[in-house]
Amino acid sequence: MSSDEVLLSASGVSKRFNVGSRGLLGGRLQLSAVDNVSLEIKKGETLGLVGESGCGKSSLARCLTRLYDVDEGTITFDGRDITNLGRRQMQPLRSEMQMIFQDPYGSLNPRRRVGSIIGDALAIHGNRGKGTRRQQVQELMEIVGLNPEHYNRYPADFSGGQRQRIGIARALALKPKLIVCDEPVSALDVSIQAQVINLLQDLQREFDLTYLFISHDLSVVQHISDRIAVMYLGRIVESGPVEEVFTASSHPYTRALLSAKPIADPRAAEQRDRIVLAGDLPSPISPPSGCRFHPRCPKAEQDCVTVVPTLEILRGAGPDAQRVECLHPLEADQDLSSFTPSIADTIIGADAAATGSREVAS
Amino acid sequence: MSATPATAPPTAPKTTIVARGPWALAWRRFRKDKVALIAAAVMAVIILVAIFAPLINSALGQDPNYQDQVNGLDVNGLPLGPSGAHWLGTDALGRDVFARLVYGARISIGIGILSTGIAVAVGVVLGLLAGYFRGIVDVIIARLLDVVLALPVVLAAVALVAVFGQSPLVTVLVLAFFSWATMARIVRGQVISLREREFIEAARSLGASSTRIMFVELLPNLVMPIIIYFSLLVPVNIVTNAVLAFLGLGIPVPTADWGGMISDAEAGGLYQQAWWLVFFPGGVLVLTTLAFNLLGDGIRDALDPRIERLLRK
Repeated sequence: MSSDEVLLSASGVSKRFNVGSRGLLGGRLQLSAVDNVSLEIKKGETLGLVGESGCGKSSLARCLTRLYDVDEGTITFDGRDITNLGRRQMQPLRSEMQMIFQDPYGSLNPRRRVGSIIGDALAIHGNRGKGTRRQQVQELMEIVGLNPEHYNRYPADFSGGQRQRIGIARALALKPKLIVCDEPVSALDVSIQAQVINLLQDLQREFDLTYLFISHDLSVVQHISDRIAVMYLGRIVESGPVEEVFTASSHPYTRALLSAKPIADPRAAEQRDRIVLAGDLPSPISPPSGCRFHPRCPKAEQDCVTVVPTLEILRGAGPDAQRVECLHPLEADQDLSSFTPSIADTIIGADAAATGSREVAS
Repeated sequence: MSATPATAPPTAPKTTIVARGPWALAWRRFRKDKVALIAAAVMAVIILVAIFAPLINSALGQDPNYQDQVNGLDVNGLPLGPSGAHWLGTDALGRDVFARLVYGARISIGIGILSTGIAVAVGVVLGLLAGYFRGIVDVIIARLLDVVLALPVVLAAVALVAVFGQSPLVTVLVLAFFSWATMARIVRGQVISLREREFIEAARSLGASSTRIMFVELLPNLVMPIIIYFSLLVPVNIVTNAVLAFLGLGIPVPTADWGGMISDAEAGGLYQQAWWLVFFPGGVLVLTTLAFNLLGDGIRDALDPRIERLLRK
């Protein structure tokens, strides 16, 4: 299904937001949403991007599609550096990368008719296909499983699942190469989720689409993805082919995340060891020093506090390699729950205090 | 009774569920509002009178500007009270008050609607620009807005009319100048919250230009506040126009205008002898303003039921 040709690649991408009012020294607090992220998406594949809420998944997606300007790093799309393209230069590329949004209620303009919402792309980029705009839109509605006779209805007349289909039809209108799906099913009922996922997979086969599929639902990601990347606090901590990451994860965070995945069989669920991480997701305004995961990591050692790990190849090569960003990665047969944190709470507390009030002059 | 077969199922009343758009729902709420319906009927009569003013006057054989010095005044040269010949009496120059009121409706309502239309158009565009672009554009427009809102309206209007001279156009522009600011402020506030919605980001990801986002995505979401503000601003401008006319700065004579008629009656204390010269133009002015305000309230309640509920609590 997927070739080895890379459609989109990011290297060293960082994105920071200024937050709140100016600090005491005239500097502004900065929120590091995406930090030094590198990834590649191959033509025709689905790359799943997983992580907790607020870990920077959506920010990264918006950087990759250039809805946000990036602060550092380069983004290459279809062999072309698009990092610094202006709005006008991005315009023709917009038709090649589209987004499907999380909220099927917020992402459709409540005061516009469905036909004109789906036809937006055609109105902006010119009518490319055969037939009038109306004919094309109705054809799209049929493809995504909507009744073409509902052309003149408002989004309020549709259910959540149907609205997500409207969003998919809109993204599909210009036959893009890449579709970034930003949690496309997390706002839907479980039964509707399956329908939308199946639709996305059918469309991928039919139109040779490449997906960046963002979700916090591991089951969904495992089902749809060829490769996955795990994100924690703005950084990618582990990536690789979906089977390898799910069966032989090496990063303690991935391991903990996988152990939280619901299992349908209650007996199997009882038998496995559930790893409960201590503490909350730290604030991206003052991320922990060294490895960003160290305050919550059961396996953390002294050097994790000071040394910033990089994403290294663990096994394999090329885009299909399994990569992990950890100084002390787990072996496949090691059990994370056997470790007890060696970093004392006091050190973590002191460390947080030292980095907590970091201000960046701007 | 025994002829009825026992197996016949009870026929349940057929209920069909009809999908209603926001406009249909608003109309249903509006229909239940008796005050607003009466106000709408009064408004309709006044607007029809304004439109058909020439027909009405020619049917009655009256000319609003004809000075009947012989039959329109009494032996002492004073205006005549209401009678069969002159329904609402005559003024100091022997002109028919009813005919002038009918023509005055054209001027008062025409100026009220026209100036409000210009004010709303300007306010919407500037509010969109300020709310959408923020930054320096917002700062400039917000300061401009503060200046306009801080000006004492009547005083500044007097100065403007004095500088530019008296004409219907100047009156319309002066009224518009003092009423766009509130509209701009309302639109700006709405746009600031709307622009963070995901559908704006969706439009941007499709490659929509800023102009397209403002006028295709944002404007349809502003229709209700625009209609509400429009209906509430028209009576304000009608009254302000009357105030200007009363101060002698309105439409130039001899054109009939409600405010101007009251102003004429006040000259030389004439109203002390001829009450009808103040009572009828003043009454019509109050009636029109009241009807427009109540209609505006009704429209607001119908379009935005949340406000209604809040007010009733």
